[in-house]
Amino acid sequence: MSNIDLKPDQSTAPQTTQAGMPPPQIPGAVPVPPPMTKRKLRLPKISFGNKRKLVTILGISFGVLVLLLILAAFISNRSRNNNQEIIPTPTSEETTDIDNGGLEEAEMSEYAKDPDVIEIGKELDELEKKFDEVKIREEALSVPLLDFEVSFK
Amino acid sequence: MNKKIIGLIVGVLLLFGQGRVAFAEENFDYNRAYEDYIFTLEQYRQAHSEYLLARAQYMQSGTLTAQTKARDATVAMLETRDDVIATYLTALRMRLNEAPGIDPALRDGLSARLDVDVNWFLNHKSGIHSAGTLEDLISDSNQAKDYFELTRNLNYEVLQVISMGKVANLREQVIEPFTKLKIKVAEFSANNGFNSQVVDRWIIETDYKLTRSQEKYASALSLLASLQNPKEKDKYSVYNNALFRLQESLQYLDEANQFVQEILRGVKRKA
Repeated sequence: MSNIDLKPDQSTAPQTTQAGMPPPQIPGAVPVPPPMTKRKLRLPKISFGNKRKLVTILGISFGVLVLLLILAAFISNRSRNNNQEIIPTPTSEETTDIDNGGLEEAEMSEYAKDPDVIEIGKELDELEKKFDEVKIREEALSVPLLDFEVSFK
Repeated sequence: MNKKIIGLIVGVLLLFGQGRVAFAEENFDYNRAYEDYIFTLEQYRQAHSEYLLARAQYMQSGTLTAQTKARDATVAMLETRDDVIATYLTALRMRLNEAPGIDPALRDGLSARLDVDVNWFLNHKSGIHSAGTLEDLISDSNQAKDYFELTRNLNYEVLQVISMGKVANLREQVIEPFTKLKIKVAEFSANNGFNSQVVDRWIIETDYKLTRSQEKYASALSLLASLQNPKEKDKYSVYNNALFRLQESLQYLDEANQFVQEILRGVKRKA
């Protein structure tokens, strides 16, 4: 049916001689690495004999960790406070001019520019806002309605 | 050496922990207490729904399994109910502490009474018979029910005191500029030849409003005594009545404030 040659390829076959000797070095050929042999891995020995040193290192590391935690808490607290200060609330002094109570300059008496009178005017304006906002009843803290009728009959 | 290091570490941790606790306590205010209350109230609603379901299933089937489920659901409901009351009372106490216009001695007395009630409900929660019978749980519930009747009276008392503080605080704030203005009018009249005939009449009218406001306030105060009276049965009506009178007192104050503004305009305007 097909003309495919199923013989092993000569170029990819293992290059050993019949006597088990290494193959001769051919100039220009890729050198074949020697076969892997089991070797003992030699690691530098760590001495655990001096426990005092180990405990000291652990203690210092832990201390540094705790200090870092304190520092992080302090910084986060400070940044939170700073964030609160970012948006300044405009005060009435910045946003409102002197209230003349709807009076024209020509209608105003000599007492209108008295500093105490101006101050009283400001106090009354602030108070007016408080009257608008105040709610006598504490709606949010109404006594909770709870079920006390527990029975199984 | 090892013991010393361990001691040092434990010491640092304790110091750090105490700092965090102190920091948390400093930040505990009314808003935080109110959040806690709302959170536990949600938990209670959930537990109460589960209790109603478990109870209905037990009443229908009467099996031991249903009984066990009903008991567990009842325990959970009773515990969260105690939590709700304890957190509510704590929120109320924080609100009382932050509210303006309240006499410090009255505030301290009410706070102490609220603390007693908070402790009662926390102790009651820890004493609920989680392994007891359904009858034990009914008994636990009735104990809380009886005590809550007393607590409820205290709640209305505190709520009324907070409302009275708001009116008292505003009254002080009305009187202060009004007094200053009266002094200025007298000064202008004496030194600058200001004709104060009309303004003087307006001042009398304003004083009348303040007097009417004070009368209504005193009337509300008398109802506070009724709230403290154990013979008074309908505390909620008394509380509502007191709020109505405080609202009237506030209305008179507002009118007085508008009069003061009018007096000020009278001073500012050319004759």
